[in-house]
Amino acid sequence: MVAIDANEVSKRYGTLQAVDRVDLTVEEGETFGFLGPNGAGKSTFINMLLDFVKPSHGSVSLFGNDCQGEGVAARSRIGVLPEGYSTFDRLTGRQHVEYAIRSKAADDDPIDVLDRVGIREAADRKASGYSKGMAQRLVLGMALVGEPDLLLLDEPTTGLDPNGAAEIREILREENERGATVFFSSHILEQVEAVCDRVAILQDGELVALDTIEGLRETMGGGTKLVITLDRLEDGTLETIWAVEGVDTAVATEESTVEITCTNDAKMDVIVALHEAGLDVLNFRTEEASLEDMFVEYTGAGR
Amino acid sequence: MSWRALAYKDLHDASRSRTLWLLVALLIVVFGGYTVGHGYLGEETFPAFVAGLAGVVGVFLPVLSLLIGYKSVVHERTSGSLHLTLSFPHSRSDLVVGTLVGRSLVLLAPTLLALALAGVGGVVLYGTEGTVAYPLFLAASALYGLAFVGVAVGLSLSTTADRWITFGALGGYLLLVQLWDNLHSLTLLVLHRFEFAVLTDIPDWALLFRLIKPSESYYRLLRAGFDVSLAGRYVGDVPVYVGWWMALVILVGWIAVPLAVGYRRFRAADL
Repeated sequence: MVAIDANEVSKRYGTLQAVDRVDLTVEEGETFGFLGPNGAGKSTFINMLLDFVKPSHGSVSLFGNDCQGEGVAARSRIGVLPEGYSTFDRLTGRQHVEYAIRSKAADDDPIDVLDRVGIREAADRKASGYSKGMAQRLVLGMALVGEPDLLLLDEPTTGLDPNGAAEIREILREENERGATVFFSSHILEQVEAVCDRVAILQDGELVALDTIEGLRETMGGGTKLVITLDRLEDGTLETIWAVEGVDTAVATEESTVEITCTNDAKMDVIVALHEAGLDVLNFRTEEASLEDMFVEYTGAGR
Repeated sequence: MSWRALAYKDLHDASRSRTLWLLVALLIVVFGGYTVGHGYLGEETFPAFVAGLAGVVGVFLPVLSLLIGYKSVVHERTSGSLHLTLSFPHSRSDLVVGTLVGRSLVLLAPTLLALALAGVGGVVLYGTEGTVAYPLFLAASALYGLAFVGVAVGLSLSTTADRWITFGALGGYLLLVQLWDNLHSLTLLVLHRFEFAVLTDIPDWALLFRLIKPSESYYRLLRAGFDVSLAGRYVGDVPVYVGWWMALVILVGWIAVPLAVGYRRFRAADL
């Protein structure tokens, strides 16, 4: 069964095309990463799934229920960590979870939920006094109530330190093993790389990539990154490298170090070309291209 | 039954507001003060006491209702807690009903308690004659308070501009509590080319116009149960459409119409 189905969905605010004909299907059981720089339209897309925002064109559905026409049914099987939320002014952490339990007609124990997200000791304090990270944990806890079939999380690790982010990823992994579909957005790539089966990259409201991480690597010139240290760097050196067939990018990072992304087969050709140009290769190593490199490649960030 | 979870949360959240408890204390002081003070102000009978108390309720309760309701939805919406509220399987109409019920309970629990206490004081001080109709007074007062909760929540649903919400609440109070009579008179004068005689002998339809003011409807309802001097112009030789049932219709209308208008705008809005 399909958990999330977006059908050519668009949202326009005046002259700004926030989301532009996004076609996307997330199957049940997947962990799906929704990537893009800030302002790419990720939250607008998620807000359409939650019916906070009405699409200008197209439609979105969760488990076959149209998010606008059958919003309550669409939201009945999901747990949400929305964007730009604030906690309820005067309620304690425990009362927040109780609201979630009552809203979903679930029978979880509030303390167990708070324990799982690591804020048990703050259960009876007003949530308005929580730090950003604690609030994030609280709302994640509310999302976990009632064993939802889909977790929809907008930038879940915002405000958390690396340890906290790792704890959250662990919870997401557990939920996925339980059978839940996990869909989360992020502009931080390593988090997505670590847990996701598939990723989509959104740029200026458009879907620019939709693939598995391995698939993206393959598309990206075999996914090899070559870091070469030379005895010296001359004016024409980068041009020499670019001239080699199979080279995608070549960037001088330090005085005499060059980072190259290329197909696997081109690696030796690069070394040979440099040698022929009269340069000594002092050291070289290869790395698997990280998603970061691909992300930069796709979205043009940093170019 | 989704609205119940929302009403429960709203009631819990709002009832922990310190400002609100200050208002409740003020309410008890005002009603209690009047109960004692009535002996110096008017006739020392129970119905006269109720009529006087109704005058206090008429001016004071709308302030409380509006304060309780006018930021109910818009505050959640601009702060972002509405995103948290509505990410659960609740519809926007559930939210409206839940908020209305929650805020109504926040208003009515202390108000009815204070009025009941005032009633007991009234019996002690001014005698038992006419006390059988006191529940009617409580019910009518509750409905009167709810009319302004309807106005306030409807206003809160209709926009996110804080300025308009504040102007709306203040303007609503001034128009519906203070200036309606002036508006009524001015309208009559304009329609009758400033012949001032029309103000002493007003046409039948103008009675209904006047009754639309919530406090007039409130007094009209009280008149149905108490032999008091309130709302005298609507009894005797008058058209049937200014009967007590019309007062009931109008007060319910003040709850329903602003809510319906606010909901229409809210339903279509991006949050």
